[in-house]
Amino acid sequence: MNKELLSIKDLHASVADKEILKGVNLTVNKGEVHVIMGPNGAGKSTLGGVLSGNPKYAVSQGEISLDGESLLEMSPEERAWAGLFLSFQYPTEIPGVTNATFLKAALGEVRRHRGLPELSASEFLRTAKSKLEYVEMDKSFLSRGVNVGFSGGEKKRNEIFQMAMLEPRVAILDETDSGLDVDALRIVGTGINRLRTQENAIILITHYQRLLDYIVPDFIHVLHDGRIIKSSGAQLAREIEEKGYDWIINN
Amino acid sequence: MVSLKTEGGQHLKEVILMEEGFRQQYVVEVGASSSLDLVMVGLPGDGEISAEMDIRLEGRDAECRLNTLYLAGGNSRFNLDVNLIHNSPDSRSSQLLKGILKGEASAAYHGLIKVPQHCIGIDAQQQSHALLLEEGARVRHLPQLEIYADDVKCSHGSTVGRLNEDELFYLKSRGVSAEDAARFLQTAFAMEVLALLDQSTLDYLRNALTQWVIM
Repeated sequence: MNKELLSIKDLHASVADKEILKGVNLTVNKGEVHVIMGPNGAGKSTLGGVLSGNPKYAVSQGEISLDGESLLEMSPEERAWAGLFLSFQYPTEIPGVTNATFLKAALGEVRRHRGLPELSASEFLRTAKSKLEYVEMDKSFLSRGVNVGFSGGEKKRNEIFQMAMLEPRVAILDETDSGLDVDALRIVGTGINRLRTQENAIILITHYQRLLDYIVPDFIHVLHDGRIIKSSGAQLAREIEEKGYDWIINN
Repeated sequence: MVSLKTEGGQHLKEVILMEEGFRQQYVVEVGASSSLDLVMVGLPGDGEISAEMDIRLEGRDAECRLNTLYLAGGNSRFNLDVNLIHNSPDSRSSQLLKGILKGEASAAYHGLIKVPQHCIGIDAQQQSHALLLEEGARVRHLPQLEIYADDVKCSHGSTVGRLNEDELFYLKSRGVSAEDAARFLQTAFAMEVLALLDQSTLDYLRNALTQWVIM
């Protein structure tokens, strides 16, 4: 059985004619959690944006494939249907549209394109309620406007809740830990852990090791100046926390 | 011509639905300690809508709120002229206009607020915002303030924009189709006015609204 889920080969990408990614290579297998760390400006968020098809970024070279299928020609929504999920650093607020309406539309499309039957209203509600528990939110969250008036922590929990509902094959979590207090960090970390299966994969983009107190990754990669310059096991995060990036960059 | 009047501490709410071919002039008078809430919804279809509002605030604590939403596509035209006069001290007015245009549709809004010399303690606000969904759509906002009194609070703001790419991307990255993503953002844009309509009006408009917003 093929275990490879996501494959990134020699990926070059730019934003506003400035090359940010300069040849990224990464293979992610089923069941794995990868962490991308790196100093500011290394290209971490660009990588998340390029993977999910943000039109802001132009890919000039390389390949990305999900389960053998090339992603680069796909629109963002097609990538979501194929099983990709990106959690945003700054989730968008949509006043007047409730979380439930939004998620019903998203889940409906995703299920349809994956050949799954549509959920009835009561099935949707039952699923939503059980997934809300993952991030310790109550069902009143469903009737609130998407991210409207949410605290920073609530927004991040909402992202993880959406991930739980959409059941992606590869989830990229972009600085999901930033701006969280200790409790929210525990909730988000525990939530992500519960979503980890042998069939999916998670890529965490982060500055800090603190989320890794909850989630033990298989690999840690250091991104610097648009390339992965070091890949290692979970212990690398602690070394970076203590010593910074310079010793890796200068090596 | 249609005449609307509130006085003697009355509070009135009127919903005006404007459909293809609508053409009307309103003369509105609000007396002391009275208020009028006007909610206007313009759905020009493929034709034209033209509305002219002459609003006079004629007593202390008179208040008029005018909230308008129009959704114009095809070759349609939407015209709204508002002449609002604060003829009494301590009167208040607020106007909010929201429009979504696509195709070759065009819209024009002229909003005049006049405050004569003796009328102090006025609070007048005017906001006009338009979303252009396609290249061929056109919009013109002409806010105009004529203030002859001191001690008044007047503000106006006007924007014309497109759907926000980052917001569209957020929705699409969750698997929402491009069409629904646009409708979600249009819903968010229109909600301030839609929220003022009661359920039976929304039900009546449902068919016309669904191509624009998700309800």
